[in-house]
Amino acid sequence: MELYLPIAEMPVNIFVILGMGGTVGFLSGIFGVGGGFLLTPLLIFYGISPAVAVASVTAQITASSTTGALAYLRTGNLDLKLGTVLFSAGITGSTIGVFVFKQLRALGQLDLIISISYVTFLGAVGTLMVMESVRAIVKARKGIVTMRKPGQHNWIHGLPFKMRFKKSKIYVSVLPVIVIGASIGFLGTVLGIGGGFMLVPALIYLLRVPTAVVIGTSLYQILVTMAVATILHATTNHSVDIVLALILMIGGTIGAQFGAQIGQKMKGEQLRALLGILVLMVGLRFAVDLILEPTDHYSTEVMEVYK
Amino acid sequence: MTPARLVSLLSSLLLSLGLFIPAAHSERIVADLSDRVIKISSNFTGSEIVVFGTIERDQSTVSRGDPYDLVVIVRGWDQTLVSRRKDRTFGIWINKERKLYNNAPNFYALSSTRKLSDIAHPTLLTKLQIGTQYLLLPPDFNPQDRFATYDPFRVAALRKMREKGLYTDDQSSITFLSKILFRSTIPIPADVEVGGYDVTVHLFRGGALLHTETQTLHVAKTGFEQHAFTLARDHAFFYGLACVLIALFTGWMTGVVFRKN
Repeated sequence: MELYLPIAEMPVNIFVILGMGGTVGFLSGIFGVGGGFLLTPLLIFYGISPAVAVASVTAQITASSTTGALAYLRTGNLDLKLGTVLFSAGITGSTIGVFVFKQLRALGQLDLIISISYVTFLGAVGTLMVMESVRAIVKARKGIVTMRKPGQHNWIHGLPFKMRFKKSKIYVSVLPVIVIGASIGFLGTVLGIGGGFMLVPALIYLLRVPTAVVIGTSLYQILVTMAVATILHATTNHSVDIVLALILMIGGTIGAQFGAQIGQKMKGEQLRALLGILVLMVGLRFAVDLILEPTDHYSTEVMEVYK
Repeated sequence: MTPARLVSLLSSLLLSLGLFIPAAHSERIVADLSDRVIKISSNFTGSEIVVFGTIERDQSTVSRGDPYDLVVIVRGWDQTLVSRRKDRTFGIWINKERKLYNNAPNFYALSSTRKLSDIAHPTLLTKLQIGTQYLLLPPDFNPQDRFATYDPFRVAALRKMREKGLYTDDQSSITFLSKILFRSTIPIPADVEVGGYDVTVHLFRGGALLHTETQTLHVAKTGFEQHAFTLARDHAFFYGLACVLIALFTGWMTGVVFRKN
């Protein structure tokens, strides 16, 4: 069934979009991430312009993270204070992101930056996750149990402006929190991703936030940052397609429910290994496009007239 | 020289003149469109318009041997098109050189009775921008110029626009129902932009342009599509806010629905 999208100005097959949303939602439910890093490239591949794809996925992530964040809030695994500091910085990052996005679009280098960023971040995060989880799996096989040692500190814990986050059981400088929040907000806006797959490892490995609290807090931060990014995209680029976003939301949220049931049956390190491989594969896909000679060297685009 | 021969010589002279000077309305087209407005609603998957009309002749017009040629063009408005080329830099392929074309129509669909090269001389076709191969040329372009350089950026831009279905040349869609009555069906693709389009009918005979007739076709969104588009453009903040509220509601709803199960 074809449905005309008012902002993208093209008809799409509603079932294809529902299927994309559902599949990505299913995967994101398993792994507890937003899935924007999969959904945005899929939509671009389907023929939707990168600008509309990025902006509409932002709205979809807002919806999916709402469901998740509410669930974690009920079980008490959400650090509101840490989340609030993160998203305050995230909003600043988003604002810069939307501005940079507009400039890159005008320069004609948006595709390049999106591709390079995907390769860099997905490659780095994917590799780290696979390495860490393989190590954890090997340890688990050997029967070694590692406990969180209270005195275990890294260089980040030496920074000034310390703040206590009770729920996360950490006492840490506010500076790295701000940097992490702002970076995720910036990248999320430019790349149309929630950034959960980057935020979760950052909180675990850099700030030593307990895993139980991490996902809820990350979802909360993503929810607010993406809500702001949606409004920014709407006002700056006029590129949020509400019809497209709504189809994605419906597909994504339903898919996520089924994914979550499977995710709960799997072990944490197995999940991280699989997610790491998935992230790496998407990164490789972009790398191949950058390195292989394109079949067509030319591309044509209508020059945007900015008012 | 007999008077009869003189008359035939004069008439043939007049005839040959008539090939190059557009005859003052001795023949004209009366044409209309099946629809003046194409409305885009949620189930829009493209449309088509029928251009139909007749060729009117004065009683005094001498019937000539050459057949009538018709060219129907649906043309949008001019935009600036950027054509970019990827080059390898530090091992990766990135957009380097670019060229701009500021006289690129956003949409151009042509149908003609014959091959364009058989209808008129390239100079005239260039001047009137008839045929996609005569688009995106500089205004002072002369097709006779042997030194005009080949522009790969322009060729690529034209190819891309043809691939997208935004530039088309079709030589089969004009049908003559009688000697003077014609109709032509032009498909309008689904991703057509909203705005006013010029539908032009050119009448040629023996390489000369006899008459041109232009009508306006409007493409407009209607109903919800119209409201959403206007809201997104004119009240961007409230539109964005509405999107966020819908997202929050959908997210909350899903949680509620699936918790009960």
